[in-house]
Amino acid sequence: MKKRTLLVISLLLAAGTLVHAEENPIPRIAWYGNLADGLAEAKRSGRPILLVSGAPACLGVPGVW
Amino acid sequence: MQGNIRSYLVNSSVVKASRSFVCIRLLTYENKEEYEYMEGILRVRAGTLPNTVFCVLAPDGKTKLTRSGRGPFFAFANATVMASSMGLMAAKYPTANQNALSDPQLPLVHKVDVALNTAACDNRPLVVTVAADRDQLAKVDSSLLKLAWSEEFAGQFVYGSTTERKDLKPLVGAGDSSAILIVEPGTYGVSGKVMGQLDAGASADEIQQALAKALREFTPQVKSHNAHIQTGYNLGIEWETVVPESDAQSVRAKAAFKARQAKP
Repeated sequence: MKKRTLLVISLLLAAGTLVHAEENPIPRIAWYGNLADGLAEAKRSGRPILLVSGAPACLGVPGVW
Repeated sequence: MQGNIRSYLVNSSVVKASRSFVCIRLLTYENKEEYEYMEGILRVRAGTLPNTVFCVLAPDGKTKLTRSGRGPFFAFANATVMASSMGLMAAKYPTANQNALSDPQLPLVHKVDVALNTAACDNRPLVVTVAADRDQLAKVDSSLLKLAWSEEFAGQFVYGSTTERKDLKPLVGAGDSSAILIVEPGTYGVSGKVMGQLDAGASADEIQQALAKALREFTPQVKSHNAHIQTGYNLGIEWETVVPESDAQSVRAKAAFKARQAKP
C-alpha cells in the first residue's frame, strides 16, 4: 500500500514537471507584429530594426510557420 | 518559418542583442502595404515575394545595415556572429541601449484572428485587449505597457487588440466585461481558450499576477510539422491569406500536396 502511494506521488510529481515545463520561460525576442507601429517606434527611440517576415501557415494549414 | 531561421532567432545571445533593436516580425501575406514594403526591401519583382524575409535596417526603416534575403543566414554565418554584429550595429546608435524595453505601445499583431494564429505558430500564450472605443482601448493597453516590456514578460506573449467584441468569437470563455484576456491558442490557431481575464480597472499587481500565472500554466504543444499539416488538411482547416501567396516553391508544394490528397 505504501509503495503504491509513493508510486502515485512520484507520477503526480512527474506530471507536474511536464505541466509546468515553462515555469521559467527562456528569454525570447519581443516582436512587433505590424510595420507601422514598429517603424514609428524605431524613429522615436533611435533603435535600429531587426526585420523578419514569415507566413503563419504551411501548405495552407495554419498553426505552424 | 524554416528551422534554420528559427535557430538564429532563439539563440540567447541574439535575444539579448535584440533588446537594443526594434524587432518587427511581419506576416508575409496578411497585409498588402507590408507586402509591398518587403518587396522593396528584397528588391524582387512585384507579386513574387517569397514567404520569408530578413534584413537589419537603420531606424529610418529604409537604410539597410545588412544584406537582405530570405533569412539571417544571408547576412551572418551563424547566430554567434549575428549577435556580435548586432551589438556593433547598435553601438552606432547612441540611444539604442538606453531606449531598450521602454516602448510606449504594445507590440501588436494587426488583427485578433491573425494574432491567435501567430500565437499558435509561436506556441506562446496570447494577450488580447478589448474596449468599446479607441480611447478606452488605449487606457487598457497602457495598463499593460510596463509589464509587456519588462524582462519578465518581454517576448513571452503575442498581443492583439480590438474594439469589436465579435473578434473574440474564437476565444472560448471570454467574459462580456473583460478588458484583458489571456488565451491559450488551439493547435491550429483558429480558436483559443481563455486562461485568465481582467476588467479594465485591474491593478498593475493583478495584471502581473495573471500574466505570471498564465506563463506558469501554459504548456507549449509538441507539434510534428508533417502530421500537423496532414491532420489539418483532413480536418478541412485552411488559412486564407489577404495577399495571394507568391512564393513559387511554396505554391508548387501546396498544389502537389493537394493533388496527392485528392487521389482516391
